[in-house]
Amino acid sequence: MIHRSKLIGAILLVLALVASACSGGTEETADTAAPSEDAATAATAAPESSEPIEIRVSIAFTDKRLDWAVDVANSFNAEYPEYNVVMEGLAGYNAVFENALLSIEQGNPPAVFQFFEAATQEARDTVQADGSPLLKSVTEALAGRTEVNGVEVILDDVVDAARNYYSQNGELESVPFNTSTTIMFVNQTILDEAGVAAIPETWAEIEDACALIADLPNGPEGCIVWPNHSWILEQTLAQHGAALVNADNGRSGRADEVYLNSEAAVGFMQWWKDLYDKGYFVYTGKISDWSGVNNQFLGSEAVFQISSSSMATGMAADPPDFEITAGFMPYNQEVPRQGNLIGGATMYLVNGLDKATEDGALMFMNYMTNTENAAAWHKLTGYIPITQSAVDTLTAEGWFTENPNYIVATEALAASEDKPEVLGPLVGNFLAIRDLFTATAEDILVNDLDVAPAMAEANEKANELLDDYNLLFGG
Amino acid sequence: MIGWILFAAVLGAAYVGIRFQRSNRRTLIGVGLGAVAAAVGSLIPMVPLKSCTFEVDRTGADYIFGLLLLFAAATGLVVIAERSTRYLSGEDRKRRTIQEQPSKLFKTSPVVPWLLLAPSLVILSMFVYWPAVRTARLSLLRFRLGAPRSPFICVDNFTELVNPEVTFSPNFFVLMGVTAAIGAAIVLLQKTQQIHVQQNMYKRAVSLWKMLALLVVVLFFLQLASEDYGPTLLATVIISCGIVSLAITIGLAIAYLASQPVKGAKTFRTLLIWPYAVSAPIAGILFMVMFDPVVGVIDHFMEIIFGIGLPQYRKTVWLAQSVIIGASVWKVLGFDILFFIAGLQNVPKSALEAAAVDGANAWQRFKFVTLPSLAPIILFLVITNLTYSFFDLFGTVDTLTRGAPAGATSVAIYEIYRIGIELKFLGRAAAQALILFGLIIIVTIWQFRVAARRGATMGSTT
Repeated sequence: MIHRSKLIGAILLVLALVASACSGGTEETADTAAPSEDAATAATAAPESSEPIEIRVSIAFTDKRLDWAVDVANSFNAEYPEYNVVMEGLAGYNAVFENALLSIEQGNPPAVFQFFEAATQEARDTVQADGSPLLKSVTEALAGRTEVNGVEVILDDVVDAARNYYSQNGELESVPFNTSTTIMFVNQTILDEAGVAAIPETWAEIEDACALIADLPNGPEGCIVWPNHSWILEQTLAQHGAALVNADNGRSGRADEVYLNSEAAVGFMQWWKDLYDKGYFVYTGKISDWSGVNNQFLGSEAVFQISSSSMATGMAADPPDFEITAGFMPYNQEVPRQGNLIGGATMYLVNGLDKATEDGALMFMNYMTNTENAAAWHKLTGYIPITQSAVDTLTAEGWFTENPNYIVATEALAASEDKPEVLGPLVGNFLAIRDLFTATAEDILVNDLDVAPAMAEANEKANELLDDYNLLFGG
Repeated sequence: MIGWILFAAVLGAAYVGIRFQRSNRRTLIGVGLGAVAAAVGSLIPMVPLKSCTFEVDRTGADYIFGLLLLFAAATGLVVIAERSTRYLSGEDRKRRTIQEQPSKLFKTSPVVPWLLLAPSLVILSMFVYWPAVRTARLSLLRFRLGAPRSPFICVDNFTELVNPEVTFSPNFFVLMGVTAAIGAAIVLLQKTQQIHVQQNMYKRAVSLWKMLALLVVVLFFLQLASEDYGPTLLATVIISCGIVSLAITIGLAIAYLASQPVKGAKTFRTLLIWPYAVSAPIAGILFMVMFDPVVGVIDHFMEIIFGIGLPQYRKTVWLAQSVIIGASVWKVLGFDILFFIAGLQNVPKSALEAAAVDGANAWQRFKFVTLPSLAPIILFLVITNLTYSFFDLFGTVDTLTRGAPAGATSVAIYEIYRIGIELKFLGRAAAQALILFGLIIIVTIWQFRVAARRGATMGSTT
């Protein structure tokens, strides 16, 4: 009997606890529901229609660039209240890509997402969980329209280097966004001290200048620096007019062969190693160390820095105690300079959206890149003005006269030939191939390896990586 | 393959049969049980693998790997089967003491424990077991998010980590021979009972031999590993050993000093534990800000005072590894000190006083009284520090070296991240993750065994 009464008591206690927990829960929901409703009304107060169409845009920025994008989205929402662009910033391109794929699988696709240039082949090849293509070409979606619901289409105005890079069969597939190229920043103060008359343009001129700089009393530790990143190799190949992969650098068909052992690639690596061995090139010891290299330059430990043109804004915002000038990335004097390729990212339209959402996405992509926005984006970030009209506007207002370092990238790209070798490679598993090159470069420099055999070995592995990729994605 | 399964079944039958015979149960049932358990066990890995490792066009490495899996699974199931029969027949229950008997007051149906366990089981299944099964599945595929195909590639993700043209150096064979000979000598000595006179020396010889054997095993795997995976294994071994040995030695030394009765000791102790609250990447960034030859603070002062800066640590293998070890030791030190201080407070004062009365000096008191009573804490810290250096180094490596120079600091967990997340080879990363998982399992089993043995000795002395 005692046991039974205890048992009943226990059951009652449990029931009471459950009941109180449940009631507590409801109260809590009611409490939190109220303010969130308020917030929702506040956010959608501007649109007149009751339910604006949501356009989810996913980008790979979390800093001031995200703030800028959010501001643009807000002004778009104010101007076109039938739409509500929701801008989300994620840490890195891969995060954006995976987020897009997985949220499509879960039935909540983003309308637009940003992805970087080296993954263009993968973006084209990728399929959604149901097997349909991930992307829809913006040219195809526009179907010849020059404006969408009052927003002017800017595709024809995009500067050539970017438009050609992201085009397939002459058709631009996405809306290029943050775009840069490599340029060379120069510590003009030391250059003048060393008596070098002009910014060196060729490899030989760099070496001559370095010899003079090395003779300076209390001179810098090194002479030239750049990050150990495959982009620098790709730029050199573009300058040489040499392809990294077959099938016209992957632009006339699917590439299935890598040429990391080409004369141009091995020649560049040999030049790099020679500079390193002479003490002219100072390696930070870390792969893709953009900020470390910039610190070397800003700390006057090197006179020349080859880096992304977008570095100009950081230098302008916090200027060092020496004069900075900029020139084109130096080229091998043995081969005429054919041009530079772009780097950065583009905005893709997701395939399978309903017509209204798709149009809203197209409107926003073109709005974000209109002349005013493209010019503002350039000033904020140092990425090139992506449209010709933005270049013209900035020139007219005297921006480039005041900031001569900002025009160098645009000029370098404008002086580039329109051919596959200069536009840059499109190839699967590109990231892994890039990684292989940087690891090999580090090995060659630090462990004093012979260049040709090391590059040949890397090439063998790179081809295996490409085979791997084509096994999964190839037709 | 069927031949191997039959072979496993025979071995299983013999093992369980003998165990049954020894414990006076029916031998025939044991033989049957062992045979079935071994056969079923060996089929467990072969079903998802579709017996692919035994196909004719597979490499020798695949064949051996398949065989190892087959026997490992068969052994596992045989042991489980034999243990559970012991449990079911009540043999284990007879051994229990009175205190361990199930309580009469809360006599419940056997469903109740499972019901109580259910919430944690559900959560564990969702967030641990299911992802683990998926990882195992991924490790058999060439897999990439968004790819139209994910072909099954058997155990290639594992066997490509093995050097296809593996050759062992002659020195290794010499070392292996010497180790085997010493092992045999130790066993012989033990059998012939000539050891009781110098038991202490015998114990020391056994522990030295164990370390030698461990070294041989580690060297074996380092040489077996492929050109790409070998450096990763080597970096993991060197950096983990460095972290564990230094963190424990320095931690104990500091804790010993900090437990001395001096003024302000309590504040001092609290300050010592602080670095533990810092996350691994922050530790990396702090060390970079100190030791970087371009932006480093120490480099700056060195240049001002001595006129020479610090060398670029990322270009020299031992310097890069030392900086990683240094940053990690600094980070875990607080944790180790915390436990050592607690442990030191529990060292019996009477024993220390007795030793002092007997004429033991400070070092002898530390060695023969303090250290043995800290043994369980040291063991616990070895395991936690080892787990830390296996799983939590990513942030430190990424901020300090990114694996430089040429992979010399690319430890296993960093490599898994790089391959799986950055380069998107999810299948390969899954295989490497399973290998790391296997290593941790081995370490944990070792921990349990040592702990059990210590428990037994402590029980016998009290």
